[in-house]
Amino acid sequence: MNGKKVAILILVIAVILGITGISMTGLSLGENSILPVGSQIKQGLDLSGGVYVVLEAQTDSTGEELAQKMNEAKLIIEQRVDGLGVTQPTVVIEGEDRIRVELPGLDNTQEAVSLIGQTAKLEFRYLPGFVDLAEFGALSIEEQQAYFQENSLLAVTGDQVVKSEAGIQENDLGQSTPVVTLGFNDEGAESFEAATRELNQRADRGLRTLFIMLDGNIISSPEVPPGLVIDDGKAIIEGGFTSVEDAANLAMLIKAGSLPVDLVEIQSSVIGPTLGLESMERSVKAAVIGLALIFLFMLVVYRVPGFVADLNLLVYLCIVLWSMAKIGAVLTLPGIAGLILSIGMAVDANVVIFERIREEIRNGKTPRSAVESGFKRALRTVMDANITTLIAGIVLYAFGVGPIKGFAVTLIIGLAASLITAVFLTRFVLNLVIDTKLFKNKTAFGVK
Amino acid sequence: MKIQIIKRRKTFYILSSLVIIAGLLMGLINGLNYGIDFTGGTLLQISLGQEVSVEEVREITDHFDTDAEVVHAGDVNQEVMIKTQKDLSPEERTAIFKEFQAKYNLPDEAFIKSEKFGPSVGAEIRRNAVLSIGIATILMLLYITVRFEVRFGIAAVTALVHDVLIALSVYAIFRLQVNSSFVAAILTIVGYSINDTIVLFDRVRENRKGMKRGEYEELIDSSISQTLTRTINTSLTTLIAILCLYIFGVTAIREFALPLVVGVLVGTYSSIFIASPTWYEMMMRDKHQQRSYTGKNA
Repeated sequence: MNGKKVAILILVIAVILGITGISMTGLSLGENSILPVGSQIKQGLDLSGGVYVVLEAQTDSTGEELAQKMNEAKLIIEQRVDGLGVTQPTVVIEGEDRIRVELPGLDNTQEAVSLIGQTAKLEFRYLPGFVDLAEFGALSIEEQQAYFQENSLLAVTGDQVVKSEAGIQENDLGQSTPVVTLGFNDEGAESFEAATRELNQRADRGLRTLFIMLDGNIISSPEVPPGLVIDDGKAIIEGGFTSVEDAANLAMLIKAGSLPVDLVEIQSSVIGPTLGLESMERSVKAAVIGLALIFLFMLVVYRVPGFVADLNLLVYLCIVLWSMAKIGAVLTLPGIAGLILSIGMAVDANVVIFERIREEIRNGKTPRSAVESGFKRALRTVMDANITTLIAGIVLYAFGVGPIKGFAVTLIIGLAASLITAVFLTRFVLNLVIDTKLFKNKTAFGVK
Repeated sequence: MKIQIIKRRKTFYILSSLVIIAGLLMGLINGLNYGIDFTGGTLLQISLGQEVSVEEVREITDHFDTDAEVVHAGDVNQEVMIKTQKDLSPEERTAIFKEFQAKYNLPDEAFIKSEKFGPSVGAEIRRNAVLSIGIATILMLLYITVRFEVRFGIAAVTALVHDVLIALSVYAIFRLQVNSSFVAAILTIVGYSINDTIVLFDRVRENRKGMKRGEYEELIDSSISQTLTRTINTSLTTLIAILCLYIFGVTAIREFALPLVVGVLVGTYSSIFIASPTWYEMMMRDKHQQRSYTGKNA
């Protein structure tokens, strides 16, 4: 027995078990805490429950023009969706003329679709002059909102805005700053003039503020300078923009009383939260039982190498789960299937290697040299097999949509992790085990 | 025990052909059970809290679409899935649920699931599926040709086509839903089968160096028997994982796990009983051609 090697082996086992334990249950050390890896992986709507809708633009525009319209539509939808108070909503453009909206936790497509498709209400409003700002400020946010809704005055409505553009203008200090230029129609120009005449009289800065509201949310609150009257139907919002894009966003939102294109629902799905929760719980249960059985199988059939394979699988699982958490991959039902399949492949890599080693031992080699030559010969097989499957996985990822992509992601990560652990870790730990000289008996390697 | 696969290869060809022919016939007669993501349409899943007969469910669904398909779901058949190829608007979907809600006094949560795919999306997913499988197969063939030789590649792909056909037959015979997870299942089968075939061919490639000239039958049979333990152990572990999915999973997972179980079995079967004999046939044909050339020259 080689005491030093035994110590190293025990250390390796402890580290692997420790990392696995921390990954599964999490750890908190004072201020620094590690969350369980499972809770850090984003779940697809099929696991968490929720609504997704894919909308297609009904338009003849193509190329740049279409791309710009889609971008505007995306920003507007994001704005609207934010108002729902849904956690982690996603709005992405798919292909050229589609937008996919995912709303975890929501359970009504009709609500979602009508919300997304509706024409937003754009209004310029201001507080009446008699408001005592100190008193107003002391109210709770809800009370402020209620008060504002009840008493604020309307300056201009969205359909009176004919132009809203971002640009660059020199300010008083001669610096170039981003601004938003607004243009009103005649009716709008008139009411806007009236509003500025009233506001510019007010002494209190807060009361000179114009609130630009989209669907009841304040998207900008410029101030009318004292004494300024705008009677030409043009207004400029300046200051407060961090970049031209910032200004462009606001310009777009103001223009966005309505979506730039008609969007129709072409695909949608609602998964109730109960179904989502049930799938998650049962999939986890299936995975745990499946893994436990595989661990047992390897241990019974391959003995010492089987134990090494089990350690290997733990590391493999940690790599896969942490990679998914860190790259923000979304775990879906087909993804779980891909994961379990890749576990099968990871086990296979070990089985191929161990069978080779067994063969070499049967041919009369010592465990030490059997591991060396067995590895050498098995490695080529494992590489070829994994790379071929990897090719399939990458094609799936590149061309696949929806569930296929989710499946491909876990398969690719799983295969990569399986190669790394099978090639480096199994060999390292197996050699270490042999160096400890604890197991000289062939039966320890599953050879009768 | 001496394994004699090559000698009995015709038996395996016939066995596979029978399954595929049965599947094709079923497919031709009944058509495949396409999911709405392939055809376009709407799917609603409602928990009724009791088992309700299809006829009773139809009383409501017939107001919207008389062609709607109604099936039971859930562990104790307390749920119904209503599948229609009609493009139901969100308002119509809600209206259907409201009728069920009123009749069976259901809470809002009873509306478990609703899915809709426009017809163009269905066609796209189908095209996308065929395209990805096609490209993946060609690339895998190329890789095997580079790493081994083209005959191994062709034999491996023959086994793949066999597996896909068998899987399709299983879908046709058991009326399983052909939808996007079907595509993922087929691809898993393809990946698993190629993995298995490569492990076997790798052994053939290795044993070939030391073999007696022209003794291909012996070469293949002994390679198969040398890798047999590995083949069985790997298939077993993978099957354990998938069976757990099947036993403990929810409906969506089960639908996916069943073809995978078939896929692992067929993938293992085909690398031994289809891929290897195919390679053997090709080698024998080449040998005959060579012999007849030398015959002419002599």
